[in-house]
Amino acid sequence: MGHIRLGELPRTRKWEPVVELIKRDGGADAVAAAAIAAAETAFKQAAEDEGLGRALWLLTQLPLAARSANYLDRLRTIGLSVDAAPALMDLVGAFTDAVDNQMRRTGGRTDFGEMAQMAAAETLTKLLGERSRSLFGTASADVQRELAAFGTTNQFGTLARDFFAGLTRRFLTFFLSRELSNHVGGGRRFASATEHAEFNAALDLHCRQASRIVEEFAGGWFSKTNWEQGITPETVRGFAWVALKKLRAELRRTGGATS
Amino acid sequence: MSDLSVVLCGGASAAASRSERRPPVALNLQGSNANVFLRIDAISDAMARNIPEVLIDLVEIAVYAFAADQAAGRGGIRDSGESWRRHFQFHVPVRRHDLWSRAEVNEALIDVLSFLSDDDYGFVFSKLASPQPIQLYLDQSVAAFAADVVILFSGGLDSLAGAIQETLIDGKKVALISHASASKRKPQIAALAGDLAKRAPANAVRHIPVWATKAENIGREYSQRSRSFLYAALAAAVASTLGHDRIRFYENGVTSMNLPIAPQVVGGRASRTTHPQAIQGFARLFTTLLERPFAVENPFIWKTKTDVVRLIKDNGWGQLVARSVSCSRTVEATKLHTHCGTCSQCIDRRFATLAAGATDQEDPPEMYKIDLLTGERTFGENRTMAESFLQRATRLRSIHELDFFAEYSEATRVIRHVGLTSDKAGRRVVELHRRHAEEVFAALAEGHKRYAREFQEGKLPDSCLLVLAVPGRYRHAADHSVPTVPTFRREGDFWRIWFENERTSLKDSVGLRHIARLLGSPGRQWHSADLLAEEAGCTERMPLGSAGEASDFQSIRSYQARLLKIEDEVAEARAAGDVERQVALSEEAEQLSRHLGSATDIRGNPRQAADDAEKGGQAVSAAVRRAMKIISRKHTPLWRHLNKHLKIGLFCNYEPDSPFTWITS
Repeated sequence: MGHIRLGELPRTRKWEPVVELIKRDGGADAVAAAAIAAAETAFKQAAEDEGLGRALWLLTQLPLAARSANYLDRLRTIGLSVDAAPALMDLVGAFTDAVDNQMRRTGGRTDFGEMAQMAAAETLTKLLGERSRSLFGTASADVQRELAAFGTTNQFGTLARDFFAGLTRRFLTFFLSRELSNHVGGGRRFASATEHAEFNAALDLHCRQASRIVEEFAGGWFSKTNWEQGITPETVRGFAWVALKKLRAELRRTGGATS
Repeated sequence: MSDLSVVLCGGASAAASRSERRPPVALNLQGSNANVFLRIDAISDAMARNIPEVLIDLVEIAVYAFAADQAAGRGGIRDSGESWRRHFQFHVPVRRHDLWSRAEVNEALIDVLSFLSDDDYGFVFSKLASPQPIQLYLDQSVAAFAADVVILFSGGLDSLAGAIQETLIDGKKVALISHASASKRKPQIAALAGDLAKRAPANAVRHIPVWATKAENIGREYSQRSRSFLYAALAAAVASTLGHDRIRFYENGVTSMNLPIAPQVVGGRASRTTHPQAIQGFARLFTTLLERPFAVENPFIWKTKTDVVRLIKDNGWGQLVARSVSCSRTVEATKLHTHCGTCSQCIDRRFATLAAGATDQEDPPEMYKIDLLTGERTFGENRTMAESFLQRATRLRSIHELDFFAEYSEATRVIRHVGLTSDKAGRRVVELHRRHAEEVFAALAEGHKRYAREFQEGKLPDSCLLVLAVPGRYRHAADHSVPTVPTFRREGDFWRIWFENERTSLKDSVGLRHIARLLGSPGRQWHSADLLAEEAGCTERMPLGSAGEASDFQSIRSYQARLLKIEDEVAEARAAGDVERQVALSEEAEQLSRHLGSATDIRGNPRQAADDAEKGGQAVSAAVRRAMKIISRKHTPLWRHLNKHLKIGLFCNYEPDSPFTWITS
């Protein structure tokens, strides 16, 4: 490995209940609710994040580009450097590079922005890969067709839900992974690395279920905004703010938090 | 994002702007106020004449960037991460202002630096008024030499294998550029280069150590993510002395790509030293600067570390493995334990040597302070590193390609930077990581065989990797070797502590003895004097009282009068030329002033001396605070518990939420 910088949970009162829950066999839903409460300030501020704004705006633009007659030109206009027939991996690689280039130019990269960028790449890879039945060797026309399918109300809702689920999981585990390994081993919460992995899988599932709350709203917002005023980085920021607020409330509700 | 750091290099100046909250950092390679230092050994004066001015600029910029990288902190390990990324604005005088001021050069420079270090960069270049030659940085006593290839040589396994491949297998003449970040590493790297030279034909190996350091007072951030930029810049300059337009890093692909081992490892927390995008970035920058193609290569990009060890072993050079050092925790290294056994580099190295079947002579187990497979992984970073490594290998072992790129989206930063079609690159990246995971499990399987008896007899620590790798459903039997009740018990000079399934031993101290008394009597309110009495072995508390005023009013007035008189006497002594008397009077005045300062308050009235009770409270608090600091490093769960339930001051008590029994004797 190269060098890796690891951290520990902040030693503040806010994080004590999270550690206690992990220790005392708290379920993924309860741990997620406690963690989102402890990291509430960061999660609230996240809607303003440049990286999130850029990644999410690009996600809204890709289906629209795929539906236009000049698909490749539209991709290049929004910052994706692609050749004449981009396959799926070309598209995902170009997406990542586009966000990187933009953030390098404007500055202001943050951890949350990085997580959003990676969650967006995850969504594109997974949804397009599943629908194209393969990650490699997919023809450019097939990629365009599947991408264009996300330009409807329902399908954009699916895309957005997957994105916010991945983002929420990444945000929660950004903190929780500083602590969970300490609870692995004889006499501890997780008997082995396998049980730790099972907890992570449960947390992922919980994030996917909680993000259902944004699905319908996202689809409606996409169609309405695109029709009425066009989707801009500013309108995306407003959308992200509402989506994150809904998610925060849902995580706390499903985790049994009282406030 | 932390505040803007303005870095003024080589005497540059800049007008202050509103966005600056920190004072500018001045870095100078030359002159009386030099605070960053560069020396390149083994390059002759004649060879140095070939170095173009723009590469001298590049080396200086790289040294400044490296120094600034260490000057600005990235926050502590318990931060939420706001301080990880910094914002630098460099002002640098250069020889080739015409080149550096070009937009494409600026862009290439910022792209590669910001990718490497995860920071924001800005550069303002000015024309250097009196350029110094590169000879300033050289040891000019050496003879010229020739080499076929320039290799970056860190003294680790991968660069050793690269040097072996080039010189001992392919028979080429090599120049090995090394830069040691810590003084302990310098002799190790030099010795390893010497070992290679002994085995190679005469004059086939030339080691070129480079020393780039900074003054101690500039700052101390250890992450050093920009180090490979300095390294590459130096190698490019050396390559130009040899008439080459190519340099080679040797690093296995898994390390180069360095995908996160855990979700907390976001962005540049996983170093990108030889990431394909960084390698391509170096080549782009050097090509733009030199206005001709310049290649930066990593021939090991599709190898795992186990492949690298096999390359060394299979060609008969296995004995050199033990001479290489991979550990990143140089400070902890001793002559016996050259590797900590807990950092990611040590874990990766040992898995690779075990998977490659390296013998105990080739990679001696005693070299590692903590054994990879059977060593106890203490609470905190050590356990998280090992367990996360295992988790990732478990996941990668049979991962579907779709899940690979979804879960490890960072890999999408690789596929467009390895010179293959994206599909081919994607397939090879997945295959490489699956192979790496298989090698990890091959080493674990060997370990389970080797330690089968200890395993069956329950003699391995709970937190060792061999135990953590076994799914919990196969080992529900109770562990009889550990106590079940929280324990804080003194045994000789040490306190044996068991709490929340975590054990540690701490050297005896007054603070620990106070804590033990408090833990032994939950809910009891202790006066600090009682704790001190117990500590002194007294049966009852000593009588307490006020010490009264530090000095009485009359004394203070007489001291003040004496001070005035001393002034007159000093004047007399000066007039008489009596130096000895002057010194004696000054000392007396100083003592009186010091005493008056502590004996009077701000209005000049007598101050109350601290009474016994206050002093007792202070003494207990200080002792417990020192002990808590040690506990915070050694046993985080206990620290958390005590921090919440222990009250220290004039009155002290231990008040847990629910009834809690400790074994304290």
